[in-house]
Amino acid sequence: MTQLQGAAPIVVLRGVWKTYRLGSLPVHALRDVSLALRAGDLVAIMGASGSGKSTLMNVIGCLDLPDRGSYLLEREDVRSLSERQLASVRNGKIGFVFQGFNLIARTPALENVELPLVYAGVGRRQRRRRATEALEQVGLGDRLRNQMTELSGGQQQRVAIARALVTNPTMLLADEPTGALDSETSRSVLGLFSRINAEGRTVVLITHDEDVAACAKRVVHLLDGSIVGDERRAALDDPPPALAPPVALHGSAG
Amino acid sequence: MNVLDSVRIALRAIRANRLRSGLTMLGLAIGVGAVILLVALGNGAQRAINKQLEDLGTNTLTVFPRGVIGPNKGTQSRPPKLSLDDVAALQRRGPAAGIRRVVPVITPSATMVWNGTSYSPQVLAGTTPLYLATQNFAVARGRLFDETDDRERRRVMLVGQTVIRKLFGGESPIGQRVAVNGSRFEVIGVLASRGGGPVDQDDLVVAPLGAVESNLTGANPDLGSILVQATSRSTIPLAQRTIRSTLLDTHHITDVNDADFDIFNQSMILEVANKTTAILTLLLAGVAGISLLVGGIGVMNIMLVTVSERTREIGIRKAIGAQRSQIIGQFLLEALVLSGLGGLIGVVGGVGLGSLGTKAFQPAVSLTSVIVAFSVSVLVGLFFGLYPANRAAALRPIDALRYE
Repeated sequence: MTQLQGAAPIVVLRGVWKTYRLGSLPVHALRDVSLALRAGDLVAIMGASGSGKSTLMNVIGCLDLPDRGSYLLEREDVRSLSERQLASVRNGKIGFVFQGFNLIARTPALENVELPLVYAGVGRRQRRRRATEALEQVGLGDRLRNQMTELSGGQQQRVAIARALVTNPTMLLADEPTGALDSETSRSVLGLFSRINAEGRTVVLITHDEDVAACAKRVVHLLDGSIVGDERRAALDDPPPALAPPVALHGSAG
Repeated sequence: MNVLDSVRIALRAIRANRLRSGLTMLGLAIGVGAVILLVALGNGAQRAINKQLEDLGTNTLTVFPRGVIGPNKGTQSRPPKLSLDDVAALQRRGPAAGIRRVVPVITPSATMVWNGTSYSPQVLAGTTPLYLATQNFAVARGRLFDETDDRERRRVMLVGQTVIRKLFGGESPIGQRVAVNGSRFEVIGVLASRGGGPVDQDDLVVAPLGAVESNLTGANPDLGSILVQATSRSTIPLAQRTIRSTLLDTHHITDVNDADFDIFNQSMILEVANKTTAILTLLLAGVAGISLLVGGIGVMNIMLVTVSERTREIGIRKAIGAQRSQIIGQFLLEALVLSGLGGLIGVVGGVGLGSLGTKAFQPAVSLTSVIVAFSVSVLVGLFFGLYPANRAAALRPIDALRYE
């Protein structure tokens, strides 16, 4: 990905509302959210539980549609897409990483990573090659045949990241990616995200954890469904903070 | 995503739940196996009946004195009897009246003694050589008796397989002399086995009428029965009418209701039995079909459980871009693989069990039943897999992902 493309906004949310019903009470999970994310950025969307950050991730990830407002993903109006097209968008443009890994049980790592390519209709041989590359990229080149039960939490999350990367998506969308990991494993997974970003891929981290946000170049704060803060901590073209000299990392890790 | 990928995903899911998948398949396997086996049993029964039909001799009617088969109403002035005069009267009517052959049979009770062993066969038939031809008897060893044996009242006889076993201890009896009620008869032949059925048709001794008459019963004996062979299958009713009118005449009976004889059309009864068996086969197949249906509902049940148990997995698959049709395909294929494998196991089991059998009764597996049962099991899987598959595909990814 070149710096030129890096300047163009890939996600543009304008006046997005999302309302759920809890019994007879409407709950506004998102209130008039407007947000633009640029290619090549490493963004953390922060907020406490109930702030609407998961809803925002669902909307950005095309798992859910906004009730009001517009969402353009690479200039395409997501609200006008059919269910079929949405599935294709999720498959090709977005790579999800979840807190609970969400890998398919009793299935080897390689096949888990291949799965998005299976759904994309990629041929068997090419699939195998790309999935192997993705696993090598996350440092699991020697764990292709392992079942999920044979892998540690950190390794499972790496498999999930490989699965998210394998389709070469527009952005990686990670929901509390370190929520189920110990601090050391968390650091190594965050390092992986930083490296992926340094290679030019857009990464969006949804988290409540300041340690996670410390890796981001830009931090967006959500509160009660509205954006209450938006700070840039590193320039878009700069390397991610976690890859900056160790002094800076120590400073933020406390 | 090609079919092979889908099959692989389905097989993986089935392997992941071996016990449950196995039990589901068992339901369908039992259904398919039951259909094949029960149809095989029905077919076997029908074949056995058809074989008996052939064995009985074609176009044959049997006349019994009243009371031998069926009730005797007791209106006759003298005890019901058939005599050689009746045979002669029937023979005179000839082919014009539908009668080809008339065979007298006397069946005295007899006890045979050989080498210190005694045995009473179910039937000792004193009859003419035509009897053997009419009844389609074949000789396994030795020879049949002929006109000369009959005319010269030679004391010879043919024995059935059961008699060989019971009296001769399985040894070859040909040339042996056996005391029958005190008279010595020489065994000249062994009848080929006719197998079982409701009556052991091998527990039989056949001897020339003349010899039996002069040694066991005395002259002009009462006949046990008269066999009448019609000129063809279509003249059986004509022959039956001829027999009735002739015998009423020779017995000087005016009212048909007072007849002192019964005409027994065995092939007709067997045909009825044949039809009954066919209906029974259908019925059995129907019952087995219901178990197949129940097996199908088992598949639906399991697939529904699977769908709700794997809601999260469905959510993951949708999140990473699975199309609705791909989810439907996966679950439908799982149902199909379950039902197909179950059906296959049933086919193997049903054909295997259907190939077993005794000498007396041999089931006959029909290819049609195998094909139909297997196809139905696959269709059942498809049909009952459709609803769960649709439910899985209709799940919204965020709901499915949130599901714990």
